[in-house]
Amino acid sequence: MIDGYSYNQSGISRGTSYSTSSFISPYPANSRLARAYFIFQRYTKSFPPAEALDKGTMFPDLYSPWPTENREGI
Amino acid sequence: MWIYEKKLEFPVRIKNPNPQMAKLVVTQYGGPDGELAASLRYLSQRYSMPIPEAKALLTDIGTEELAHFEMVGSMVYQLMKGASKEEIKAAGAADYFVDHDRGVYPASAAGNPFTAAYIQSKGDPIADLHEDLAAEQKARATYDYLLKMADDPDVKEPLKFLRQREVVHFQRFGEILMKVQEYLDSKKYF
Amino acid sequence: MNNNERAQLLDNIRAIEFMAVELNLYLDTHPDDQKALREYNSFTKQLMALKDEYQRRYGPLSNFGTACSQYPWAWINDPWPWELD
Repeated sequence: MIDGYSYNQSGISRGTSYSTSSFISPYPANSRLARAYFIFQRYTKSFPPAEALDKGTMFPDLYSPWPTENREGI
Repeated sequence: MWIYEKKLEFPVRIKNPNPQMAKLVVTQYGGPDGELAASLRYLSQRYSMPIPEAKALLTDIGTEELAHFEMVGSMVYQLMKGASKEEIKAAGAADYFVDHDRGVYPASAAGNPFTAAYIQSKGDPIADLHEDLAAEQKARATYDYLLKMADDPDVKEPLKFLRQREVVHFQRFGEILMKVQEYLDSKKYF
Repeated sequence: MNNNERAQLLDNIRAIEFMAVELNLYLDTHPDDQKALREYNSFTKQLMALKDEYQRRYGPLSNFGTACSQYPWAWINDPWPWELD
């Protein structure tokens, strides 16, 4: 159940306005107020060991190189 | 129980002493968002976790944070090692020196000694996990700031590694929060 | 030189152990991921072999009964990780 959320995982770009009829929520169908939701990582690809150690993660999906262009968040 | 392994998770090989940098880096040793705070926080919170995955994750991340604590301590040690009295004075690190020589002491960059007031272990898994998410972001931000202050690549490489680890931990805490919430929800409908 | 080989072997161990750590954390939140578990076990076996070789030549990497030591008690030997790694 947790691993297969039945919702659209596509990201929503900032600064775009949507009409309510075309809005696709990234949250699960029965989500509630006053709680946080996280997307589960799905492991597909990996860096090889030496590169993983050098980068600080084996997962390209989680790799966040420094310096970051965007000051906010990751 | 903990077993010690005689190697650093990621190498620290700093060739040039820099007491000024040592005073800054020490904040990830004994400061509010540092690695010691992280390990004690997670290792203390794990007792109240309701599901095995959460007990495992808090134990494992808490253990990895001890490895990071060791890395940061090594950085402070190497940054102070071989620095002359004059270099220490010029770097504004004389106040650290008179209390610790070139030793390693858990304090923040501002010189505040480590305190458990930096952590919370609320006993409530939801509250605790949200604290952990915040802690990982604060640590990541601190590494961002330290990286801005550093010039030496020997210093930047371990800092970048440690920063990336915070990002991964953040994701794991988010996932475990989902699992804990699902478990607690299921208990309500008993 | 001997020291270079030692550093190489230790770096190898570091990289493989890091994969094990990453997969360990991933498995804590994804205990049913078969691919991840297979890889974790594979890296673990590789790591054990690498550590055996390192410890045979250069002394124990861990204490409290997790590795044997040559004579005299080699656990105490320099370098310690914060000195040279």
